[in-house]
Amino acid sequence: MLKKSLRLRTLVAASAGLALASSVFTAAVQVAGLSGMGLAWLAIAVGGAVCVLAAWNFSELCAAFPNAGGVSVYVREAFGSTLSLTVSLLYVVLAWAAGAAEAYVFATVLSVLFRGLPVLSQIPPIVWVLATLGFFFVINLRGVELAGRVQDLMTYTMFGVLLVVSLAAWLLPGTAAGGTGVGAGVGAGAAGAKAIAGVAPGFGSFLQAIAYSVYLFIGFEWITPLVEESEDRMFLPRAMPLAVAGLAVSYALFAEAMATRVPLSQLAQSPTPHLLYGQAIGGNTGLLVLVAVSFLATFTSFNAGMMGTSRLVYAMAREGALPPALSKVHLTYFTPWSALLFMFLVEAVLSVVLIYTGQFTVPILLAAAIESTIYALAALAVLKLRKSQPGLERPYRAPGGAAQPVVTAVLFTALALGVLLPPTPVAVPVGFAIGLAGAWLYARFVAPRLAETSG
Amino acid sequence: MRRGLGARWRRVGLPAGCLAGFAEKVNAHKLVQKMMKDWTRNIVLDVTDSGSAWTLAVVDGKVAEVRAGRSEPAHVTLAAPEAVLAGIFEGKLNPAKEFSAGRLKFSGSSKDEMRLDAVVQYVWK
Repeated sequence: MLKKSLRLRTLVAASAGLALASSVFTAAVQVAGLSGMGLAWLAIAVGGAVCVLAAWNFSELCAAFPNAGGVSVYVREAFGSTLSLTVSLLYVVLAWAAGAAEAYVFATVLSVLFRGLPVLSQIPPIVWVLATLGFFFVINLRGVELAGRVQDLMTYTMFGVLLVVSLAAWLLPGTAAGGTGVGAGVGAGAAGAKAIAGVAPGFGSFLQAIAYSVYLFIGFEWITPLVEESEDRMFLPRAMPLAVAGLAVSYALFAEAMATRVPLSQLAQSPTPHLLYGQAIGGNTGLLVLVAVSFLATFTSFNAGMMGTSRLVYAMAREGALPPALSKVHLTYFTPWSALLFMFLVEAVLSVVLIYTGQFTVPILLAAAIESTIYALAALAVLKLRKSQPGLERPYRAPGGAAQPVVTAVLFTALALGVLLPPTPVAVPVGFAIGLAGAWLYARFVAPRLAETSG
Repeated sequence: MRRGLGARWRRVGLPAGCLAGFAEKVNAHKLVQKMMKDWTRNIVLDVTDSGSAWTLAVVDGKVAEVRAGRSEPAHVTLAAPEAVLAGIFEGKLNPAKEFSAGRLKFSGSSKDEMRLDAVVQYVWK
Protein backbone atom coordinates (compact mmCIF):
# COMPACT_ATOMS: atom_id res chain seq x y z
CA MET A 1 0.00 0.00 0.00
CA LEU A 2 1.19 3.52 -0.74
CA LYS A 3 1.97 5.67 2.26
CA LYS A 4 -0.85 8.10 3.08
CA SER A 5 0.43 10.71 5.46
CA LEU A 6 -0.78 14.17 4.42
CA ARG A 7 -3.26 15.79 6.74
CA LEU A 8 -5.89 18.34 5.82
CA ARG A 9 -3.92 21.06 7.60
CA THR A 10 -0.82 20.36 5.49
CA LEU A 11 -2.78 20.20 2.24
CA VAL A 12 -4.40 23.58 2.96
CA ALA A 13 -0.96 25.03 3.78
CA ALA A 14 0.56 23.59 0.60
CA SER A 15 -2.29 24.88 -1.57
CA ALA A 16 -2.28 28.36 -0.05
CA GLY A 17 1.52 28.50 0.21
CA LEU A 18 1.91 27.96 -3.52
CA ALA A 19 -0.43 30.85 -4.28
CA LEU A 20 0.85 33.31 -1.68
CA ALA A 21 3.87 34.98 -3.30
CA SER A 22 5.45 38.43 -3.10
CA SER A 23 4.11 39.36 -6.52
CA VAL A 24 0.49 38.94 -5.36
CA PHE A 25 0.73 42.26 -3.54
CA THR A 26 1.56 43.95 -6.84
CA ALA A 27 -1.38 42.17 -8.45
CA ALA A 28 -3.67 43.13 -5.55
CA VAL A 29 -2.89 46.80 -6.17
CA GLN A 30 -3.83 46.43 -9.83
CA VAL A 31 -7.12 44.89 -8.67
CA ALA A 32 -7.66 47.81 -6.28
CA GLY A 33 -6.92 50.31 -9.04
CA LEU A 34 -9.39 48.78 -11.46
CA SER A 35 -12.19 48.13 -9.00
CA GLY A 36 -12.17 51.64 -7.51
CA MET A 37 -14.20 53.17 -4.65
CA GLY A 38 -12.93 50.76 -2.02
CA LEU A 39 -14.30 47.75 -3.88
CA ALA A 40 -11.05 45.81 -4.11
CA TRP A 41 -12.30 43.47 -1.40
CA LEU A 42 -15.40 42.70 -3.46
CA ALA A 43 -13.44 42.03 -6.65
CA ILE A 44 -11.10 39.73 -4.74
CA ALA A 45 -14.01 38.00 -3.00
CA VAL A 46 -15.74 37.38 -6.33
CA GLY A 47 -12.46 36.20 -7.85
CA GLY A 48 -12.03 33.83 -4.90
CA ALA A 49 -15.60 32.56 -5.26
CA VAL A 50 -15.02 31.82 -8.95
CA CYS A 51 -11.79 30.01 -8.05
CA VAL A 52 -13.75 27.91 -5.54
CA LEU A 53 -15.86 26.73 -8.50
CA ALA A 54 -12.61 25.74 -10.23
CA ALA A 55 -11.48 24.01 -7.02
CA TRP A 56 -14.66 21.91 -7.01
CA ASN A 57 -13.95 20.78 -10.56
CA PHE A 58 -10.33 19.91 -9.77
CA SER A 59 -11.58 18.03 -6.72
CA GLU A 60 -13.93 15.88 -8.81
CA LEU A 61 -11.16 15.19 -11.31
CA CYS A 62 -8.44 14.33 -8.81
CA ALA A 63 -10.75 12.10 -6.78
CA ALA A 64 -11.74 10.24 -9.96
CA PHE A 65 -8.15 10.06 -11.25
CA PRO A 66 -5.91 9.83 -8.18
CA ASN A 67 -2.75 10.21 -10.21
CA ALA A 68 0.44 12.15 -9.66
CA GLY A 69 0.17 13.44 -13.24
CA GLY A 70 -2.53 15.89 -12.11
CA VAL A 71 -4.16 18.23 -14.62
CA SER A 72 -2.39 16.79 -17.66
CA VAL A 73 -3.97 13.40 -16.88
CA TYR A 74 -7.49 14.84 -16.57
CA VAL A 75 -7.15 16.72 -19.84
CA ARG A 76 -5.71 13.66 -21.59
CA GLU A 77 -8.58 11.50 -20.38
CA ALA A 78 -11.07 14.08 -21.63
CA PHE A 79 -9.53 15.52 -24.75
CA GLY A 80 -6.51 13.42 -25.75
CA SER A 81 -2.76 13.74 -25.57
CA THR A 82 -2.24 16.80 -27.79
CA LEU A 83 -4.32 19.08 -25.60
CA SER A 84 -2.87 17.44 -22.49
CA LEU A 85 0.67 18.26 -23.59
CA THR A 86 -0.46 21.75 -24.59
CA VAL A 87 -1.71 22.31 -21.04
CA SER A 88 1.54 20.99 -19.55
CA LEU A 89 3.51 23.36 -21.77
CA LEU A 90 1.22 26.24 -20.82
CA TYR A 91 2.02 25.48 -17.18
CA VAL A 92 5.70 25.84 -18.05
CA VAL A 93 5.03 29.21 -19.71
CA LEU A 94 2.97 30.20 -16.66
CA ALA A 95 5.88 29.23 -14.40
CA TRP A 96 8.26 31.34 -16.48
CA ALA A 97 5.95 34.35 -16.24
CA ALA A 98 5.16 33.98 -12.54
CA GLY A 99 8.79 33.12 -11.72
CA ALA A 100 10.12 36.15 -13.56
CA ALA A 101 7.58 38.42 -11.84
CA GLU A 102 8.39 36.92 -8.46
CA ALA A 103 12.15 37.25 -8.95
CA TYR A 104 11.73 40.85 -10.07
CA VAL A 105 9.49 41.78 -7.14
CA PHE A 106 11.63 40.01 -4.56
CA ALA A 107 14.82 41.53 -5.98
CA THR A 108 13.16 44.93 -5.59
CA VAL A 109 12.39 44.02 -1.97
CA LEU A 110 16.08 43.28 -1.42
CA SER A 111 17.26 46.47 -3.11
CA VAL A 112 14.82 48.45 -0.95
CA LEU A 113 15.98 46.66 2.18
CA PHE A 114 19.62 47.45 1.51
CA ARG A 115 19.05 51.01 0.32
CA GLY A 116 21.13 53.39 2.40
CA LEU A 117 23.73 50.77 3.29
CA PRO A 118 27.27 51.56 2.09
CA VAL A 119 28.16 48.73 -0.31
CA LEU A 120 24.90 46.84 -0.79
CA SER A 121 23.04 49.92 -2.00
CA GLN A 122 25.45 50.22 -4.94
CA ILE A 123 24.49 46.83 -6.30
CA PRO A 124 22.33 47.22 -9.43
CA PRO A 125 18.84 45.58 -9.54
CA ILE A 126 19.89 43.09 -12.20
CA VAL A 127 22.36 41.56 -9.74
CA TRP A 128 19.63 41.18 -7.10
CA VAL A 129 17.35 39.50 -9.65
CA LEU A 130 20.03 37.06 -10.74
CA ALA A 131 21.04 36.46 -7.12
CA THR A 132 17.41 35.68 -6.21
CA LEU A 133 17.00 33.27 -9.11
CA GLY A 134 20.45 31.81 -8.49
CA PHE A 135 19.61 31.22 -4.83
CA PHE A 136 16.49 29.25 -5.72
CA PHE A 137 18.32 27.41 -8.49
CA VAL A 138 20.98 26.26 -6.05
CA ILE A 139 18.62 25.19 -3.26
CA ASN A 140 16.47 23.33 -5.80
CA LEU A 141 19.57 21.74 -7.31
CA ARG A 142 20.54 20.56 -3.85
CA GLY A 143 17.02 19.20 -3.37
CA VAL A 144 16.12 21.33 -0.36
CA GLU A 145 12.48 20.65 0.44
CA LEU A 146 10.36 21.95 3.23
CA ALA A 147 9.06 19.33 5.59
CA GLY A 148 5.28 19.29 5.96
CA ARG A 149 5.35 20.84 9.42
CA VAL A 150 7.71 23.64 8.35
CA GLN A 151 5.45 24.39 5.38
CA ASP A 152 2.46 24.48 7.73
CA LEU A 153 4.23 26.78 10.16
CA MET A 154 5.45 29.19 7.48
CA THR A 155 2.12 29.43 5.70
CA TYR A 156 0.00 29.88 8.81
CA THR A 157 2.51 32.41 10.17
CA MET A 158 2.16 34.40 6.94
CA PHE A 159 -1.62 34.32 7.19
CA GLY A 160 -1.43 35.45 10.83
CA VAL A 161 1.02 38.28 10.14
CA LEU A 162 -0.96 39.45 7.10
CA LEU A 163 -4.12 39.59 9.20
CA VAL A 164 -2.42 41.58 11.96
CA VAL A 165 -0.70 44.06 9.62
CA SER A 166 -3.95 44.51 7.68
CA LEU A 167 -5.89 45.36 10.83
CA ALA A 168 -3.11 47.76 11.77
CA ALA A 169 -4.28 50.03 8.93
CA TRP A 170 -7.30 50.97 11.01
CA LEU A 171 -5.77 50.59 14.48
CA LEU A 172 -2.37 52.29 14.28
CA PRO A 173 -1.43 55.92 13.67
CA GLY A 174 0.50 56.29 10.42
CA THR A 175 3.95 57.21 9.17
CA ALA A 176 4.24 58.78 5.74
CA ALA A 177 5.28 56.32 3.07
CA GLY A 178 8.34 57.17 1.02
CA GLY A 179 9.97 59.09 3.87
CA THR A 180 13.43 58.55 5.25
CA GLY A 181 15.22 55.46 6.54
CA VAL A 182 15.62 52.05 4.98
CA GLY A 183 12.32 52.37 3.22
CA ALA A 184 13.09 55.66 1.57
CA GLY A 185 12.11 55.61 -2.07
CA VAL A 186 10.33 52.28 -1.84
CA GLY A 187 8.32 53.10 -4.91
CA ALA A 188 11.22 54.43 -6.89
CA GLY A 189 12.30 50.98 -8.03
CA ALA A 190 9.63 51.07 -10.65
CA ALA A 191 10.64 54.25 -12.36
CA GLY A 192 9.07 54.16 -15.76
CA ALA A 193 6.76 51.33 -14.75
CA LYS A 194 3.68 50.82 -16.87
CA ALA A 195 1.10 50.11 -14.19
CA ILE A 196 -2.60 49.74 -14.88
CA ALA A 197 -4.16 50.85 -11.63
CA GLY A 198 -5.60 54.31 -11.83
CA VAL A 199 -7.90 53.97 -14.84
CA ALA A 200 -11.38 55.46 -14.46
CA PRO A 201 -13.39 52.86 -12.51
CA GLY A 202 -16.61 51.50 -13.95
CA PHE A 203 -18.48 48.24 -14.33
CA GLY A 204 -16.16 47.06 -17.13
CA SER A 205 -13.05 47.81 -15.14
CA PHE A 206 -14.59 46.09 -12.10
CA LEU A 207 -15.00 42.92 -14.19
CA GLN A 208 -11.39 43.26 -15.26
CA ALA A 209 -10.41 43.62 -11.60
CA ILE A 210 -12.01 40.22 -10.98
CA ALA A 211 -10.05 38.81 -13.92
CA TYR A 212 -6.80 40.22 -12.56
CA SER A 213 -7.58 38.76 -9.14
CA VAL A 214 -7.22 35.24 -10.59
CA TYR A 215 -3.45 35.78 -10.29
CA LEU A 216 -3.86 35.96 -6.52
CA PHE A 217 -4.93 32.32 -6.41
CA ILE A 218 -2.61 30.83 -9.03
CA GLY A 219 -1.17 27.54 -7.93
CA PHE A 220 -3.83 26.40 -5.45
CA GLU A 221 -4.60 23.40 -7.69
CA TRP A 222 -0.99 22.24 -7.85
CA ILE A 223 -1.67 20.00 -4.88
CA THR A 224 -3.86 17.67 -6.97
CA PRO A 225 -0.91 15.28 -7.59
CA LEU A 226 -0.78 14.79 -3.79
CA VAL A 227 -4.19 13.12 -3.69
CA GLU A 228 -2.69 9.68 -3.26
CA GLU A 229 -0.55 10.77 -0.34
CA SER A 230 -3.40 12.34 1.61
CA GLU A 231 -4.74 10.47 4.62
CA ASP A 232 -8.20 10.68 3.12
CA ARG A 233 -8.96 11.11 -0.58
CA MET A 234 -11.73 13.51 0.41
CA PHE A 235 -9.27 15.93 2.03
CA LEU A 236 -8.44 17.61 -1.29
CA PRO A 237 -12.02 18.64 -2.05
CA ARG A 238 -11.96 20.39 1.31
CA ALA A 239 -8.37 21.67 1.23
CA MET A 240 -8.52 23.62 -2.05
CA PRO A 241 -11.70 25.64 -1.30
CA LEU A 242 -10.44 26.29 2.24
CA ALA A 243 -7.10 27.55 0.88
CA VAL A 244 -8.83 29.77 -1.68
CA ALA A 245 -11.21 31.14 0.96
CA GLY A 246 -8.34 31.85 3.36
CA LEU A 247 -6.37 33.57 0.62
CA ALA A 248 -9.39 35.63 -0.48
CA VAL A 249 -10.02 36.93 3.04
CA SER A 250 -6.33 37.75 3.58
CA TYR A 251 -5.91 39.48 0.22
CA ALA A 252 -9.17 41.40 0.50
CA LEU A 253 -8.24 42.75 3.91
CA PHE A 254 -4.69 43.55 2.86
CA ALA A 255 -5.67 45.25 -0.40
CA GLU A 256 -8.16 47.47 1.44
CA ALA A 257 -5.61 48.17 4.15
CA MET A 258 -3.00 49.24 1.59
CA ALA A 259 -5.48 51.46 -0.23
CA THR A 260 -6.57 53.01 3.07
CA ARG A 261 -3.10 54.11 4.12
CA VAL A 262 -1.19 54.79 0.89
CA PRO A 263 -2.42 56.70 -2.18
CA LEU A 264 -3.31 54.27 -4.95
CA SER A 265 -1.28 56.21 -7.52
CA GLN A 266 1.81 55.69 -5.38
CA LEU A 267 1.09 51.99 -4.80
CA ALA A 268 0.45 51.38 -8.48
CA GLN A 269 3.84 52.67 -9.53
CA SER A 270 5.71 50.36 -7.17
CA PRO A 271 6.49 46.68 -7.69
CA THR A 272 6.61 46.41 -3.90
CA PRO A 273 3.45 48.18 -2.70
CA HIS A 274 3.37 46.06 0.45
CA LEU A 275 6.60 47.70 1.58
CA LEU A 276 5.11 51.15 1.09
CA TYR A 277 2.23 50.03 3.25
CA GLY A 278 4.53 48.52 5.88
CA GLN A 279 6.36 51.80 6.14
CA ALA A 280 3.10 53.71 6.31
CA ILE A 281 1.78 51.77 9.26
CA GLY A 282 4.95 51.22 11.26
CA GLY A 283 7.90 53.10 9.78
CA ASN A 284 11.03 51.04 9.40
CA THR A 285 9.70 48.35 11.77
CA GLY A 286 6.61 47.93 9.65
CA LEU A 287 8.73 47.82 6.55
CA LEU A 288 10.96 45.10 7.99
CA VAL A 289 7.92 43.03 9.01
CA LEU A 290 6.62 43.17 5.43
CA VAL A 291 10.10 42.33 4.10
CA ALA A 292 9.99 39.23 6.31
CA VAL A 293 6.52 38.32 4.99
CA SER A 294 7.81 38.83 1.47
CA PHE A 295 10.74 36.53 2.11
CA LEU A 296 8.49 33.79 3.49
CA ALA A 297 6.02 34.22 0.63
CA THR A 298 8.72 34.05 -2.02
CA PHE A 299 10.43 31.12 -0.38
CA THR A 300 7.32 28.96 -0.04
CA SER A 301 5.87 29.71 -3.46
CA PHE A 302 9.03 30.05 -5.54
CA ASN A 303 10.82 27.03 -4.13
CA ALA A 304 7.83 24.75 -4.53
CA GLY A 305 6.96 26.30 -7.89
CA MET A 306 10.43 25.94 -9.38
CA MET A 307 10.75 22.44 -7.98
CA GLY A 308 7.34 21.39 -9.29
CA THR A 309 7.86 22.87 -12.74
CA SER A 310 11.36 21.48 -13.17
CA ARG A 311 9.99 18.04 -12.32
CA LEU A 312 7.20 18.57 -14.86
CA VAL A 313 9.78 19.46 -17.52
CA TYR A 314 11.88 16.46 -16.48
CA ALA A 315 8.87 14.13 -16.65
CA MET A 316 7.93 15.43 -20.10
CA ALA A 317 11.50 14.87 -21.27
CA ARG A 318 11.52 11.35 -19.81
CA GLU A 319 8.29 10.59 -21.64
CA GLY A 320 9.83 11.80 -24.88
CA ALA A 321 7.68 14.91 -25.21
CA LEU A 322 10.62 17.28 -24.67
CA PRO A 323 14.26 16.83 -25.75
CA PRO A 324 16.08 14.14 -23.73
CA ALA A 325 18.72 16.72 -22.75
CA LEU A 326 16.16 18.00 -20.22
CA SER A 327 16.02 14.66 -18.39
CA LYS A 328 19.50 14.75 -16.86
CA VAL A 329 19.71 13.88 -13.18
CA HIS A 330 22.41 15.26 -10.87
CA LEU A 331 24.39 12.28 -9.69
CA THR A 332 25.02 13.64 -6.20
CA TYR A 333 21.81 15.46 -5.34
CA PHE A 334 19.42 13.43 -7.51
CA THR A 335 17.60 16.45 -8.82
CA PRO A 336 16.72 17.23 -12.46
CA TRP A 337 19.61 19.65 -13.04
CA SER A 338 19.14 20.26 -16.76
CA ALA A 339 15.41 21.01 -16.36
CA LEU A 340 16.22 23.32 -13.44
CA LEU A 341 18.91 25.09 -15.45
CA PHE A 342 16.46 25.51 -18.34
CA MET A 343 13.89 27.13 -16.03
CA PHE A 344 16.56 29.30 -14.40
CA LEU A 345 17.90 30.59 -17.72
CA VAL A 346 14.50 31.45 -19.20
CA GLU A 347 13.34 33.16 -16.01
CA ALA A 348 16.64 35.07 -15.78
CA VAL A 349 16.23 36.39 -19.34
CA LEU A 350 12.61 37.38 -18.68
CA SER A 351 13.55 39.07 -15.40
CA VAL A 352 16.24 41.10 -17.12
CA VAL A 353 13.68 42.15 -19.73
CA LEU A 354 11.41 43.26 -16.87
CA ILE A 355 14.18 45.36 -15.37
CA TYR A 356 14.82 47.21 -18.59
CA THR A 357 11.18 47.66 -19.58
CA GLY A 358 9.62 48.18 -16.14
CA GLN A 359 6.62 46.17 -17.39
CA PHE A 360 6.25 44.18 -14.19
CA THR A 361 2.51 43.72 -14.62
CA VAL A 362 2.91 41.91 -17.97
CA PRO A 363 4.01 38.51 -16.62
CA ILE A 364 1.42 38.75 -13.83
CA LEU A 365 -1.40 39.31 -16.31
CA LEU A 366 -0.04 36.71 -18.72
CA ALA A 367 -0.04 34.15 -15.91
CA ALA A 368 -3.62 35.13 -14.96
CA ALA A 369 -4.79 34.66 -18.58
CA ILE A 370 -3.10 31.26 -18.86
CA GLU A 371 -4.47 30.05 -15.53
CA SER A 372 -7.99 31.21 -16.42
CA THR A 373 -7.73 29.22 -19.65
CA ILE A 374 -6.62 26.11 -17.77
CA TYR A 375 -9.44 26.49 -15.23
CA ALA A 376 -11.96 26.78 -18.08
CA LEU A 377 -10.49 23.66 -19.68
CA ALA A 378 -10.69 21.74 -16.38
CA ALA A 379 -14.40 22.62 -16.14
CA LEU A 380 -14.92 21.38 -19.69
CA ALA A 381 -13.02 18.20 -18.80
CA VAL A 382 -15.49 17.55 -15.97
CA LEU A 383 -18.39 17.91 -18.41
CA LYS A 384 -16.80 15.76 -21.10
CA LEU A 385 -15.80 12.98 -18.69
CA ARG A 386 -19.25 12.84 -17.11
CA LYS A 387 -20.55 12.17 -20.61
CA SER A 388 -17.82 9.91 -21.96
CA GLN A 389 -17.17 7.93 -18.76
CA PRO A 390 -20.47 7.95 -16.86
CA GLY A 391 -19.61 4.76 -15.00
CA LEU A 392 -16.31 6.10 -13.66
CA GLU A 393 -16.08 5.96 -9.88
CA ARG A 394 -16.34 9.53 -8.60
CA PRO A 395 -15.78 9.65 -4.84
CA TYR A 396 -16.40 13.39 -5.02
CA ARG A 397 -18.85 15.09 -7.36
CA ALA A 398 -18.67 18.85 -7.83
CA PRO A 399 -21.89 20.47 -6.64
CA GLY A 400 -24.25 22.29 -8.99
CA GLY A 401 -24.93 19.51 -11.45
CA ALA A 402 -24.13 20.05 -15.12
CA ALA A 403 -24.73 23.78 -14.85
CA GLN A 404 -21.77 24.42 -12.57
CA PRO A 405 -18.96 23.33 -14.94
CA VAL A 406 -20.70 25.16 -17.79
CA VAL A 407 -20.92 28.35 -15.76
CA THR A 408 -17.31 27.93 -14.59
CA ALA A 409 -16.03 27.41 -18.13
CA VAL A 410 -17.92 30.46 -19.39
CA LEU A 411 -16.76 32.60 -16.46
CA PHE A 412 -13.10 31.71 -16.83
CA THR A 413 -13.21 32.17 -20.59
CA ALA A 414 -14.66 35.62 -19.98
CA LEU A 415 -12.04 36.33 -17.32
CA ALA A 416 -9.24 35.25 -19.67
CA LEU A 417 -10.61 37.63 -22.29
CA GLY A 418 -10.94 40.31 -19.60
CA VAL A 419 -7.24 40.01 -18.82
CA LEU A 420 -6.32 40.20 -22.50
CA LEU A 421 -8.32 43.33 -23.37
CA PRO A 422 -7.26 47.00 -22.87
CA PRO A 423 -6.08 48.62 -20.63
CA THR A 424 -3.90 45.51 -20.42
CA PRO A 425 -0.54 46.18 -22.12
CA VAL A 426 -0.48 44.75 -25.64
CA ALA A 427 2.47 42.52 -24.69
CA VAL A 428 0.04 40.35 -22.66
CA PRO A 429 -2.30 39.24 -25.49
CA VAL A 430 0.68 38.91 -27.83
CA GLY A 431 2.56 36.77 -25.30
CA PHE A 432 -0.57 34.72 -24.64
CA ALA A 433 -1.18 34.09 -28.34
CA ILE A 434 2.43 33.10 -28.91
CA GLY A 435 2.43 30.84 -25.83
CA LEU A 436 -0.85 29.13 -26.69
CA ALA A 437 -0.12 28.69 -30.40
CA GLY A 438 3.46 27.64 -29.73
CA ALA A 439 2.41 25.06 -27.13
CA TRP A 440 -0.29 23.59 -29.37
CA LEU A 441 1.92 23.48 -32.48
CA TYR A 442 4.69 21.83 -30.49
CA ALA A 443 2.29 19.28 -28.98
CA ARG A 444 0.66 18.58 -32.35
CA PHE A 445 3.68 18.38 -34.66
CA VAL A 446 7.00 18.30 -32.79
CA ALA A 447 6.34 16.10 -29.75
CA PRO A 448 5.06 13.06 -31.69
CA ARG A 449 8.20 13.03 -33.87
CA LEU A 450 10.40 13.45 -30.81
CA ALA A 451 8.62 10.57 -29.09
CA GLU A 452 9.14 8.39 -32.18
CA THR A 453 12.84 9.23 -32.24
CA SER A 454 13.30 8.52 -28.55
CA GLY A 455 11.33 5.28 -28.79
CA MET B 1 26.14 -14.63 -5.95
CA ARG B 2 24.66 -12.71 -8.91
CA ARG B 3 24.26 -15.88 -10.93
CA GLY B 4 22.58 -17.54 -7.97
CA LEU B 5 20.03 -14.77 -7.67
CA GLY B 6 19.11 -15.02 -11.33
CA ALA B 7 18.89 -18.78 -11.40
CA ARG B 8 16.75 -18.91 -8.29
CA TRP B 9 14.23 -16.26 -9.27
CA ARG B 10 13.92 -16.91 -12.97
CA ARG B 11 12.17 -20.16 -12.14
CA VAL B 12 9.40 -18.31 -10.32
CA GLY B 13 8.40 -16.22 -13.35
CA LEU B 14 7.62 -12.52 -13.65
CA PRO B 15 8.32 -10.19 -12.04
CA ALA B 16 10.83 -12.18 -10.01
CA GLY B 17 12.87 -13.30 -13.00
CA CYS B 18 13.26 -9.85 -14.41
CA LEU B 19 13.98 -8.46 -10.95
CA ALA B 20 16.92 -10.79 -10.64
CA GLY B 21 18.16 -9.74 -14.07
CA PHE B 22 17.76 -6.11 -13.09
CA ALA B 23 19.64 -6.71 -9.85
CA GLU B 24 22.51 -8.28 -11.75
CA LYS B 25 22.72 -5.32 -14.12
CA VAL B 26 22.62 -2.81 -11.27
CA ASN B 27 25.32 -4.58 -9.33
CA ALA B 28 27.56 -4.80 -12.39
CA HIS B 29 27.10 -1.21 -13.64
CA LYS B 30 30.01 1.00 -12.55
CA LEU B 31 28.29 4.38 -12.90
CA VAL B 32 25.12 3.13 -11.24
CA GLN B 33 27.18 1.74 -8.39
CA LYS B 34 28.78 5.16 -8.00
CA MET B 35 25.31 6.76 -7.90
CA MET B 36 23.97 4.21 -5.46
CA LYS B 37 26.91 4.40 -3.08
CA ASP B 38 25.75 4.61 0.54
CA TRP B 39 22.14 4.00 -0.51
CA THR B 40 20.38 1.44 1.68
CA ARG B 41 16.69 0.99 1.05
CA ASN B 42 13.93 -1.57 0.92
CA ILE B 43 12.22 -1.12 -2.43
CA VAL B 44 8.83 -2.81 -2.20
CA LEU B 45 6.94 -3.77 -5.33
CA ASP B 46 3.20 -4.20 -4.92
CA VAL B 47 1.85 -6.30 -7.76
CA THR B 48 -1.65 -4.91 -7.92
CA ASP B 49 -3.31 -7.53 -10.11
CA SER B 50 -2.04 -10.57 -8.25
CA GLY B 51 -1.93 -9.09 -4.77
CA SER B 52 1.63 -10.32 -4.28
CA ALA B 53 4.61 -8.23 -3.25
CA TRP B 54 8.38 -8.32 -3.71
CA THR B 55 11.23 -6.55 -2.01
CA LEU B 56 14.48 -5.42 -3.52
CA ALA B 57 16.80 -5.02 -0.54
CA VAL B 58 19.48 -2.49 -1.48
CA VAL B 59 22.45 -2.33 0.87
CA ASP B 60 25.15 0.26 0.20
CA GLY B 61 24.16 0.45 -3.44
CA LYS B 62 24.14 -3.29 -4.10
CA VAL B 63 20.91 -5.18 -4.61
CA ALA B 64 21.69 -7.66 -1.86
CA GLU B 65 18.50 -9.65 -2.04
CA VAL B 66 15.31 -10.05 -4.04
CA ARG B 67 12.71 -11.66 -1.85
CA ALA B 68 9.04 -12.46 -2.04
CA GLY B 69 6.80 -10.44 0.22
CA ARG B 70 6.82 -6.97 1.66
CA SER B 71 9.71 -6.03 3.94
CA GLU B 72 9.57 -3.34 6.55
CA PRO B 73 10.48 -0.57 6.63
CA ALA B 74 9.32 0.02 3.06
CA HIS B 75 11.33 3.11 2.12
CA VAL B 76 10.11 3.10 -1.45
CA THR B 77 6.98 1.46 -2.81
CA LEU B 78 6.15 0.87 -6.45
CA ALA B 79 2.66 -0.39 -7.19
CA ALA B 80 1.57 -1.58 -10.64
CA PRO B 81 0.18 -4.59 -12.48
CA GLU B 82 2.67 -7.41 -13.01
CA ALA B 83 3.11 -6.74 -16.73
CA VAL B 84 3.98 -3.10 -16.06
CA LEU B 85 6.50 -3.90 -13.34
CA ALA B 86 8.05 -6.60 -15.49
CA GLY B 87 8.24 -4.26 -18.48
CA ILE B 88 9.94 -1.56 -16.43
CA PHE B 89 12.51 -3.85 -14.83
CA GLU B 90 13.23 -5.49 -18.18
CA GLY B 91 13.77 -2.08 -19.79
CA LYS B 92 10.87 -2.50 -22.20
CA LEU B 93 8.57 0.11 -20.68
CA ASN B 94 9.31 3.73 -19.85
CA PRO B 95 8.54 4.22 -16.13
CA ALA B 96 7.84 7.92 -16.64
CA LYS B 97 5.13 7.12 -19.18
CA GLU B 98 3.62 4.44 -16.95
CA PHE B 99 3.65 6.82 -13.99
CA SER B 100 2.05 9.60 -16.00
CA ALA B 101 -0.58 7.22 -17.33
CA GLY B 102 -1.44 6.20 -13.76
CA ARG B 103 -0.46 2.58 -14.24
CA LEU B 104 2.53 2.93 -11.91
CA LYS B 105 2.22 4.42 -8.43
CA PHE B 106 5.18 5.58 -6.38
CA SER B 107 5.51 6.23 -2.69
CA GLY B 108 8.66 7.51 -1.06
CA SER B 109 10.78 10.64 -0.97
CA SER B 110 11.16 12.63 -4.16
CA LYS B 111 14.93 12.17 -3.93
CA ASP B 112 14.52 8.38 -3.88
CA GLU B 113 12.13 8.67 -6.79
CA MET B 114 14.69 10.58 -8.86
CA ARG B 115 17.49 8.22 -7.86
CA LEU B 116 15.51 5.15 -8.83
CA ASP B 117 14.50 6.71 -12.14
CA ALA B 118 18.12 7.67 -12.83
CA VAL B 119 19.21 4.09 -12.08
CA VAL B 120 16.62 2.71 -14.51
CA GLN B 121 17.74 5.25 -17.14
CA TYR B 122 21.39 4.27 -16.86
CA VAL B 123 20.88 0.52 -16.55
CA TRP B 124 18.86 0.34 -19.76
CA LYS B 125 20.66 3.05 -21.72
